[in-house]
Amino acid sequence: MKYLLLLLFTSSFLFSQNIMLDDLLKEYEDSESLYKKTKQESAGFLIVYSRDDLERMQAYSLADILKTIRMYSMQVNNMGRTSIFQAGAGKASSPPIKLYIDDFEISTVIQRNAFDMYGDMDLYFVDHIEIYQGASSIAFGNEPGSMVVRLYSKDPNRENSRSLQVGLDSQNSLEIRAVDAGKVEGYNYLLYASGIKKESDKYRSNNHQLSRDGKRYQTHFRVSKDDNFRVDFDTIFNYNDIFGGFGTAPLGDEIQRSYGYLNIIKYFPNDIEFSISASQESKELSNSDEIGIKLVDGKLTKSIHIRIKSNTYKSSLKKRFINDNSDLLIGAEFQRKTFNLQDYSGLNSLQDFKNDRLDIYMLYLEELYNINPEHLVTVSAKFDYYDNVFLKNSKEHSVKLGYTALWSKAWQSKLFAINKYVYPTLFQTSFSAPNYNINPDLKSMDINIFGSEIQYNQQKNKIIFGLAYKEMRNALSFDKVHKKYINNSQKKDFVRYYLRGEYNFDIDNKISTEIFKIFKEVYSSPTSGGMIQLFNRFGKFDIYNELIYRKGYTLNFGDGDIDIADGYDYSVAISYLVNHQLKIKLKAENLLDKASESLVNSQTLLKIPTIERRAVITMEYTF
Amino acid sequence: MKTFILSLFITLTLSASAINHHQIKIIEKIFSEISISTELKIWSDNKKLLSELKKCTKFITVENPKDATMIILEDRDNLSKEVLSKSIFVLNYNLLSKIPKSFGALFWKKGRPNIVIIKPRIETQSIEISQALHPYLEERVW
Repeated sequence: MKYLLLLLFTSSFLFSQNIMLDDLLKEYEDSESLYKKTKQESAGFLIVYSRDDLERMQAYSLADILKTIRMYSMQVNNMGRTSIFQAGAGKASSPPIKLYIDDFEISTVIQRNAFDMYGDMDLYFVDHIEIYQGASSIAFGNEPGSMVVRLYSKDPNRENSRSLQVGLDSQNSLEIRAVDAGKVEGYNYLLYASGIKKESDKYRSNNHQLSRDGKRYQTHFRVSKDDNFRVDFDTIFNYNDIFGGFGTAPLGDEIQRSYGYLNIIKYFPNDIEFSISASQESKELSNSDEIGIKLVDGKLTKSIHIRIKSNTYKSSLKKRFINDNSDLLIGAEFQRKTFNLQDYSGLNSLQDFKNDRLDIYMLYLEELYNINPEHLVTVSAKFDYYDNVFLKNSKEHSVKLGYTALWSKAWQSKLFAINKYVYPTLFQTSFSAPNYNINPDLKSMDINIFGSEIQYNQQKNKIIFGLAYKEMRNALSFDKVHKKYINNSQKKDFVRYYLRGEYNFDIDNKISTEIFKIFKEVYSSPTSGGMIQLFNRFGKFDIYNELIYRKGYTLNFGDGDIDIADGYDYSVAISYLVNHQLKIKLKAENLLDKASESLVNSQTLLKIPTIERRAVITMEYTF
Repeated sequence: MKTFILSLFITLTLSASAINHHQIKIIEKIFSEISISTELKIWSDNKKLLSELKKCTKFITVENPKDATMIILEDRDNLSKEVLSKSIFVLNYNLLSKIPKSFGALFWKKGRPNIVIIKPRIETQSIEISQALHPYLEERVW
């Protein structure tokens, strides 16, 4: 480890000699970076990965970014999926994290959250990523979330190219991606497609092989006309081996999942925007188990088959009023979510699963008011009415107060006070996995957050310290005795902090370090962690070093403690620009083979690395 | 006041045609490294660019393309016969292929700004470039 850190720091002092015109081009590129035009500092505590960052990190899938996010950690579940969890939270938790692709929220009905489907989505059509923690802008128009991840697709005006990328990894996985983007007759377009055959290490449980190999196909299409309209269409299909399934001796089945959406936005004069969208998701899984799958009533079943489909329709209207000191946004949105359980066979006793429909009516306003050039106040309010055909109706609201100040050129601070709610998912109230019960009586959880962040900026370096207190009432937690989600009557609260430092040696070379810790009474995942990222450029070589640390923890299932060791995930990415057309890339993930482990089954106590050790070689050709 | 709000806190959508001062600096640098057989008199169909270049004392700018010896072209629709006889530098990569007379370009491709100078074309047009532009020389349009 010592040598590794030595390598990280010494390599940063070797800089290449640049030609002056090259420097001007880099400054031009940096000044025009899209994230500078889309980020909303007032919307929360912000993490940004620019296009240059993503390319140099060789972030091929969203999971490559999610694993770096402070206050969160990744874990593998019994279906082989890698999901993201808040620091300290267990796998039964359902973090209300929101995912946006451009202006469209990927809202799921039949998954735990959008990341179950899109967590490992391909990033080849993505320009940059913004992550808002603590508070998210009501202007995003979403249901409240604890974190918002926004992906922005590449701007056709800046692409003007066709490119193809092919990758092969040490596990025999094959990845092919292509993007074509540009402008034709005044219309901007982006076409993207990818096909990925993913192979992973195999494990054994009760003498049966566990495989999470799979295939994923994704397309994204966008056509737009500046200041007039925009249409986005996206599809994703996943076919995965079922890994452990719901039991302990799987006979090798498959889980199929798909998601697709169409989003249309029309821009009118006077800052009026109207959008309408439709999305559909489906899931089908077969799970046969030699020993049997334990059901809610304690009995065993040899096989289960589930087929479920869901549709979501959304429509929104927004109007912005910008005056000298004020920017006021007023909006209204309607959402209809439906799910249709087409088959659920293999259960001994039929649970009362019903086809369901949920309508949400939302009204919101957000005012950004400048007291003077250095002090900004944010006031947001959102009123939601849930009309549920299966459950009882409810009225909910969220309010946010924010204050952002520039005390001097170097010092900046943000303060937020938020009162919001998290509505139970249909996955908790109306439909469930075979080993737990639904709870139609669940109420929404109330959350209060008080957060602050202080930034110290100098020309080359930046230091950020964030501190937040969060309290939850009626917290949605899993009751192991009754095997269902319940509203916990006890107030839960915790404090968390993070400290981040960034230093830019020059325009090509930078280092960032980060630590975080959460203070909680009960925890089931890492409560603290840290990260070092080092970006270097030597002539035509880009070199990226990354070390992610997550603290170990102890799980207790009643039969004794299970220790999960500290995790050190060290990755290196090197790329070489051969010529204008060709780039060769090499990436090694989890080089030390010490990344955090996940307990995938509490009965067999099988632990596997969350990030597998692998090397991937990639060639990118631009036409 | 408004500038502060826009620059720090609000989603800001700049039009693609807005001029970035880094872009101006690059164009100034390119043309300070170029010499043609006659006096350099620049005209551009991008009026904001032309206005910025006018502020630079290094160059002579003209309002009428007829009077120019160097054209900086952004839109093919502005390609008239009188412009075709001049040296042409383009701001869109596709124009390099479509206008055989054009000798160089500053353009966005794959999310990055690029400079290209086509060697056979500057030789044919007796355009000389200094050492600083040599890294951007290409034998053909790529």
